[in-house]
Order: sequence, then structure tokens, then C-alpha cells
Amino acid sequence: MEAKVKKQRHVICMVSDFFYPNVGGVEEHIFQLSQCLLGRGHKVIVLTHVYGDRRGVRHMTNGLKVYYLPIQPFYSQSVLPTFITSIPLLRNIFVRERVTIIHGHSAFSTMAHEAMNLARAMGLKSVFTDHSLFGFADMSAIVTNNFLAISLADVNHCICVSYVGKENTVLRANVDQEKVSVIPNALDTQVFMPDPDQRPKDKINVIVMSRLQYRKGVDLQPEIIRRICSRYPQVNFIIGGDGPKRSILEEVRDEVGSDRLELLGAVPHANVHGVLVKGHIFLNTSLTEAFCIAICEAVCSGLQVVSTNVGGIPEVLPSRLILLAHPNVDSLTQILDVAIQREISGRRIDPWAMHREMRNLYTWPDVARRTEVVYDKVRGEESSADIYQRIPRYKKCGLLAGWFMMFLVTLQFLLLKICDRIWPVEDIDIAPDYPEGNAEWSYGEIDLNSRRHTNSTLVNGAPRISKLGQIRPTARRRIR
Amino acid sequence: MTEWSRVLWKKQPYPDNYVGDSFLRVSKKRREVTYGQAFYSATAVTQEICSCLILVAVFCGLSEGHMKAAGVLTFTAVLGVTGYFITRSQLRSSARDDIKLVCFYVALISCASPVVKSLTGSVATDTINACTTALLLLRIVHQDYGALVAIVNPTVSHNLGVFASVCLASRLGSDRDVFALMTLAVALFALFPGFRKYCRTKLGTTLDLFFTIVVVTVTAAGLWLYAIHLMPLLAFALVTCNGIIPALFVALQRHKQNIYGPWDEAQIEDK
Repeated sequence: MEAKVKKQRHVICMVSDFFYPNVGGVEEHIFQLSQCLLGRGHKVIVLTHVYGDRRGVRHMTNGLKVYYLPIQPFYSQSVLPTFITSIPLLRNIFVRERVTIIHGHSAFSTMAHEAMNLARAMGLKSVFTDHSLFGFADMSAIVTNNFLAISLADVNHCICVSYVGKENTVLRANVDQEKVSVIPNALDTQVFMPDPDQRPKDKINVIVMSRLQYRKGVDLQPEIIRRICSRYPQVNFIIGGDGPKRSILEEVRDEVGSDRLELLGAVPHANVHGVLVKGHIFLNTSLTEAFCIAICEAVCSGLQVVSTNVGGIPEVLPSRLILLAHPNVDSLTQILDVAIQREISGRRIDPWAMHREMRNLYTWPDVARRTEVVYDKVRGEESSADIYQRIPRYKKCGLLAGWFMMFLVTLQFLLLKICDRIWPVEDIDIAPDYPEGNAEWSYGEIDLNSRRHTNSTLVNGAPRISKLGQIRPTARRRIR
Repeated sequence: MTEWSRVLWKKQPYPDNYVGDSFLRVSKKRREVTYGQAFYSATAVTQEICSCLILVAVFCGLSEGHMKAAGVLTFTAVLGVTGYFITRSQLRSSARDDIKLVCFYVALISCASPVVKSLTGSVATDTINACTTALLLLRIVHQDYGALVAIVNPTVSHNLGVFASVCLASRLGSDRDVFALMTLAVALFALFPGFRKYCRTKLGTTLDLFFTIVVVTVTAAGLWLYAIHLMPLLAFALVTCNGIIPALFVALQRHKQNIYGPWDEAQIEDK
């Protein structure tokens, strides 16, 4: 489906409390998405708070400008939600960078919520990406959900990583269904190549890679390891990752011996592929998961994947590439048994066939293209900064929260007017754009010619191999 | 046009914000509670209130001389032994151990009685009355009625009850009265909740309701004879506890609902 469209250039401002040098899924998502959007000819800047002595403005690969704002983190890397004190600073940046769209990431990031709200007050567009799933039952979830509902009452569009995530966000934050797009996460398929020579011929290695914590189902693993180890002398386990549940696995290691169960500790993301190719089977025991990129990386590296059937996992892979089990020891052991039998009898799918299927499934250029569709859509939407239009949107938040937000929005409006008087928009210097000629690197996404003539057709789909040879991922991330 | 399916790996000719048919297959769960159930569950609280009022009634009877210590002890012993034989099948300890425990308690209370009698001699009666009221109310709050909430704490509840009875007993005239009241308090606060639980779980609703009526009648009779001024309190407690609060609970239950869906953390099933 190729359409001739006049491409609009957006100036996008990614906002999140979580960005490099912090490591994690959200950080990688922002970085990769920004790079692909730069490659598609948009201007992208990133806002985050200071990280230690890293403050001020930095330029990353391809002129990705990162502002480390002088706001101190307050709890688990999020800034204190003051709502109004950051207005002058954010306003200045939005004006000087001529931002048109604010894209906030992660429900936990207070800075993202503040920036998105200010964007609406300044008549800009806001987009929000939700990366996580939340229950409804416990106290902390109730509080978080209420804040999210308040924040998303005035957002142009939301993006979730899976259909489960979309349902979750629609229910939690009371957002209109049509305003939520599902755009899955992606992985760099060029990095995760199968390498069957790396794995032992006479043994079968089962790989587990996750943070060692309750949510990842670590409590299920000891019993599975005991049962499988006693049943198959040739099956060994390799567990990568670190966390609070490490001790229960160390206990099992002492039982079955360190030659049967190897604990690697934390594995930097750059080394994950090196560990994955040593194995035949990948085991994921998560109890909840919005998308689970780890199983995609494993399939892409040619491993059979055994996973619990929770959250968004059944949506991610076609059934021939994954074996799903219920989140209990019996079911997981039984399904792992099936995978081991396939491995022994040689009935498993060829690793290279798996890789070929995964290659074009979840790619960052595709994510960027779909995100761009969202940007194009919100650009066309009405975006009045008029307080008479903004205030009624908060009525659906309920009596108390609604009135409180109306008060805050009014205060925000007044502060913006004061800022306009003290620092008039005309007096704010416009930041020069990064020289466009240097942003040639494009992830194989856009034909060079199309970048020169913005009117021409965009080519999406298969990456251009010649170009990709030169690309190495600069980002590193720890194992989830 | 191909049919939309709820998967991410298939390239589908639908926009990303398409809302499919299978969207929101959540289950909204709400426990339906009838007035009858709410009323029946509230009878546990009624019994607890009654046991506290019985203690106060006996105290009034003893302190004004309308009641003999021997009578109270006989009453306690008969009820205690009857209750013991009814619940015997449920107990894990041997009969020998139980008798040893009873003897130990009796000896302990009889030794402590002279001390308890003179314990609060310097304290005003009003203070003691206020203190006892507060302690008994706290006991009712912390008692275990079968609901899993943070406020339930049987140990605290038991201690509060015994403390209240010590306060009351310290105002009595003779050692024997003190001994009788303390023995009754131990029976009411330590043994009665266990017996009530046994009734709830083993004897069935009808017998339990009958038992509740017996308790309420005994309380009402006791108050009528020895502490008539507390009758309005009993009436108020009964109306609130068995009338207003269950009705309020049923009415408010409508507004409480939990939404469950595939995003919830899976529970590890223990075997």
C-alpha cells in the first residue's frame, strides 16, 4: 500500500523521566523511535531530568538533542509532581524549539504528564505512550489510575503496545477507545541472528532471562528446574538477570549442582544475544507482561520459546513460534517437556526459518511509520488553548478531582499569561536545527532520493541491507 | 476485507486505533449480598456485644449485692462444661491437658484476686467506668468476626477484654466477688469466641441463629434484673448492628465492583 502524500514535517518533543544513562525498555524505546523519526526527516528533541552530573543539553546520534532539565528526581527516578513550577522552563523550550507535538512516555513519569498538560495549555498537541499494565484491585493501583485519568482527560492520542494494554488504558484512564492506537514494541532483528554452532551438540540448554523478581514468576522456576533436571540428565539451565529473588535460585543451584544450573547475574543488553545463542529453548515465566520483547528476541535468535499465557503474550507471536502454558509449575513443566522432546527428536522448526519469520515482524522503522500516522492525525485536530474549551474536559474526572483540576488549569493559564508578559515569545531565541545533511543515516528506512524530494514516495518495509551494514546499535540496555 | 483478529504479528488492513469485536472481554465481578446474609453475618457482632454487656450486668449485680459469687461461678461452670462437651470433638489437646489448664487458671485468678481488688483504690469510679467502656468498645472493634481485614487482631481483642474486666473487678468488695467476675471474664472473652466459631462452621445457620437468640435473651434478662439503665444501650446496639448497618451494607455493595481482565497479575497456584 504505497500512497503519494505530501509529507508533513513534525517537531516532536519526547518527554519522560526515564532516558539514558538510565537503562530499561522505555529508554530504549524512546531512543530508537527518535532515531527512526529523525531518519524520516522530522525534528526530535528529548526532555528528561538531570542524571547525576549529567545536566544541560546533549546531542546524541544523528543530532538527537537531549535536554537534561535541572529538576531533581524525587521517587524512583520520577520528579516531584508540582504541575506549575516547571511551566516557565518547559514553555521556553517548547517555544525555542518550535515544538508542535509533545510525546510523553510511561505512566510513571510525572514529567511526561506535566509536559503534556502544559502542551495543551499552549495549544500544542500531545501524544502519550503507555508501556505497562495495571490491575484495579489494590490501593496503589487505584491512586495511580486516578492520576492517570486526570492526566489523560486532555490528551490528543494514546499509544499502547498491545491490545491488552489498550483495554487496560481505556478502562483505567477513561479514554475514548478511538483515541488509543496499538503500536507494538520492536527489536533490532539484525542483532539477534541465530548461531547454531554456539550451542552444545550433546546437551540441551534452557535459557531464562529476566529480572529476578516476583512479577517475572521466579517463584515457579525452582520446582520446574528440579523436575526437569531429574527427568533429563542432558538438560541444563542458564539463568541471566539479577534481582531480589536470586537467593531461591542459588538454593536450587546448590541442590542440582552448578554444572546443571548456571546463574549469570545481570547481563548487559549488548551481551544478551551472546547468551541466547548458547541455548535451545527459552523459558519465560512472567506473571504479567504488556508485550514481552524478550520472547521476540529469543525467537529471532532461533530458540524454541516456552512462555506463560498472560497479558499481551498470546498476541505477540503466531502459535507455531511459541508454546504457551498456564502460570503454574505443572503446566510449565509439561510444555517444557514437549519442547525438549521436539529438540531430542529433531522435530523443531529450523532456527533460520524462525529468524526469517521474525525479521520483518517488529521493526523500529515500522513503529516510526505507524507513530507518524498518529502524529499526522493529531496535527489535524483542533487544539485551542482557550480555557473555556479546556475546563469542561475535566468534568468527567469526578467531582473532587475534576474541580481540583479546573483550579489547577486556571492557575496554569494565569501563570502562562504572566510568563508571556515577562518573557515575550518574540524575545525567545529560536534554536537552530541540526544540519539536515548530517542526518543521512536512516536505518534503511527511506530511500535517499525520497529524502531529497519530500514529495516523492516513501518506501517502507524491507530494510536495505547495504545501509544496515554500517549501523550498530549505540544504545545499551540491561536485561529486563 | 479480511476479518480483524486480535494479534500483533499479522499485518492487518485496519488502522492502529481500530476497535475490534473482541475488545474489552473483561469480567466485572461483584459479590451479590442479600439482606439475609448481611444480617446473619452481623449476628456475630451482636453476640460479642452481648457478651460484653453480660459482664457489665454481672458486675452491677455483684457490686450491689443482688447476686452471689457462688451463683456466678455455678453459671460459668455449667456453661463452660456444656460448651466443652459440645466442642470436644474439635479440640486437639487431650482432656488431661485441658483440666490442667483450667486448674492453672483457677489457681492464678484466685491468687490474683486480692491484688486486683485493691488495684484501683485511688482511682475515681468515673474514670474506671469510662475506661471500661472504651476498652470494651475497642475489644468489639478488634474481634475476629470472620472477615479478612487489617483491623482484626484476636490477641489485642482478648487483652483489651481482660483489661476491662480487671478494671471492673477492682471496684468489687470481696475477694470472692473478684474471683467470680474474673473467671466469668475469662470464659466470656477467651472461650466464648471459640465456641461461636464452632457454631458458625459446624452447627449450621439455624442452630446458630437460635443460639444468638438465647444469648440476646440471657443478656436482656440480666440487664433487666441488675442493670436496667443499660437496656436502652442494648436496644440501640441491636437496632444498629442488625438493622441499619446490614441494610447500609447491602445498599452500598451495589457501588463496589472489581474489574478483572488479562492484565491482572497471574496468581501462582500452590498445591
